[in-house]
Amino acid sequence: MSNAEPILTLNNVSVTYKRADRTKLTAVAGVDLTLNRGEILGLVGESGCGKSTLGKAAVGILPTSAGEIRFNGTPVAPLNRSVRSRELLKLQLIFQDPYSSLNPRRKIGDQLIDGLVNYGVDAEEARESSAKLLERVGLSRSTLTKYTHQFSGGQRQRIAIARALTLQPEVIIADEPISALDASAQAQVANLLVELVAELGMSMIFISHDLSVVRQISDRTAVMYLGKMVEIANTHEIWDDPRHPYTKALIQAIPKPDGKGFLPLELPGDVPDPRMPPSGCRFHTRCPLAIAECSVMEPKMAVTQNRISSCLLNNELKEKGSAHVV
Amino acid sequence: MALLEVNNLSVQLQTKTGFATAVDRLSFTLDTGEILGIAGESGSGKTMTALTLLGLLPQHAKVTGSAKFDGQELVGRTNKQWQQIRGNNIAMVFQDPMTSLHPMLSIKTQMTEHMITHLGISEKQAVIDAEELLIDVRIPDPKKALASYASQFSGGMRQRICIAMALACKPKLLLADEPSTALDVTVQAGILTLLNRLREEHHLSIIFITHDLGVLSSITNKLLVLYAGREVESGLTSTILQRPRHPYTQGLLDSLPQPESDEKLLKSIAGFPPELGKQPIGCAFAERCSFTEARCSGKEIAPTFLKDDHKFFCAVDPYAKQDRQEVEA
Repeated sequence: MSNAEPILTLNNVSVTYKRADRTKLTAVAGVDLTLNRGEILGLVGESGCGKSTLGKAAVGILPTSAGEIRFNGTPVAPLNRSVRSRELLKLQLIFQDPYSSLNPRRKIGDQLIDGLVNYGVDAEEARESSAKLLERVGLSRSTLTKYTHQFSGGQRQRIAIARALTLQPEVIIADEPISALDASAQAQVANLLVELVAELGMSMIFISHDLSVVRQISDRTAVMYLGKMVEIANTHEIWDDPRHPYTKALIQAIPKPDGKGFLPLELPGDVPDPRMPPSGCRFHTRCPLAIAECSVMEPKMAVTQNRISSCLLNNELKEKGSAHVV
Repeated sequence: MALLEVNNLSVQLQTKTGFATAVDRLSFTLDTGEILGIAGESGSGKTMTALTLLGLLPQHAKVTGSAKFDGQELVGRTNKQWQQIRGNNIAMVFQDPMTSLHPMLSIKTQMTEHMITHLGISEKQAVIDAEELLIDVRIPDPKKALASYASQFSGGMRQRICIAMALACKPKLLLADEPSTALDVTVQAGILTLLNRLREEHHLSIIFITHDLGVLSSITNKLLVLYAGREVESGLTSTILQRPRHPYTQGLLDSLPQPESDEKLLKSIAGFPPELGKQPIGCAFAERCSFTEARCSGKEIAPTFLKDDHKFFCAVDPYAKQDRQEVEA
């Protein structure tokens, strides 16, 4: 993607939660990420790696503690609604759980037209375009007058998608949009998102812990570990030839349905407490290839052989990492 | 004699409109040290089958047929009779370790309670045994773990604790209902490795329920594929995943993400399974199947038996020719 045109850029972004006990938790620690126009970028990592926090910060609903996020050149700052730039309406978020992201006490139609009416569209017109959107996501027009409890998980997520689309976004950030759904509904909702992105010329960051789905639908894949980006590459490159040991471990942990009876490889240990991240490379406590320097030196995202990863053995300590087959 | 022999087991649940069949004449066997996988979409009767084997069905559920565990009949037991089996001989691990542990009781209280009741041991002994169990499932620092609460552990660690609890009374059969579905892949790999080791070391038999064919492929010996409460195909895991004969099994395999293809869309089986209690006479999958013919509906589909206990219920058998060619080649 040499002629890629960035639409959303994150520059050295950090997000810190201040907790009730006055400890600080840096969930995202200095992340650079670019979403190009028209692409689907998969963002993967274990739970607790900061991928959802990054998604929320990217649309401006969580304040950043450092760094800068720009959407189409406009800074995405967590401002209150009255001063939030109209530009940012083109940046929308889809949440994981359609059981809690939709209001159970209001009709679907009312929830859908809120955004439009709020930005000056005539209520009748808003209702009509909402009905069209519902039809596009595979539901009937009568959905407008119903309540959320009348729908299954898959249908609710379609409604949530329709709601995110009412203001014709250019970028959608989908935070685990299929993981709360039934296996059969997962493929349908994922396909719907892929089709809509292509049809409406949008771009999407697809946050998921399901690596095989990300592999199938995304153009590029970004891998996060404990608040840091560890590898970004074209999806097929990352799968055919992962460069970071963590990416390798993730891929090897996926069980294959080949009937051969091989157990997937285990990555020992848990994700460390993000309040006290390990020194040096944050992955060194679980990394099978770690050497003494890994616990001291902090790796940076760097390009080696046209691939971006943040492993000392790939980059800074390349000669020492000769045992590390790349 | 097989450890578990299930014969023509049916479960009917009471609904507003009368009884609905949730499990329809299932038969299967499980030997000591074997892992049987039950695959199917939600609503296929996987969980109901497991709950039947533990006597945990909702009130007023009707169970017919037979399920013999170690020679004893399970169907028709009273609550008191169930208590001797449940936890003692057959134990269960549930899907969501976040909700299956009590948030307000210490791990020690939760782990030792049933050990004291079932095994008749002292509290002191139960704590010693609990520590050993936690070491067995690879929980670091078991003393500290026993004094902790569920919220202090990660999802993977909680599931390990649940497995330790299930193993406390040395059951012969473990029912695992989607035990790794809520976990990250890396953690899931650890749980699968653990269950496989327990099977080898303790000769544990396991019924592993999940919709994830990848997981079933890695850990099970035998597979039972369910659709709308009925068996559609069963046999050795390797046979079923490599040479499925039922279109539904093939459909499940096709709907997995296909790593080699450039196609961006995921495949899925169009349509939905029939509602509970509305299964048709004949093949329940006919409505969604691309090979449906007139003979698929109206009368019961007879099973076809192949070598290695491979069995399937399809009147059309569209993959028969292909299969024969492969055998010849």
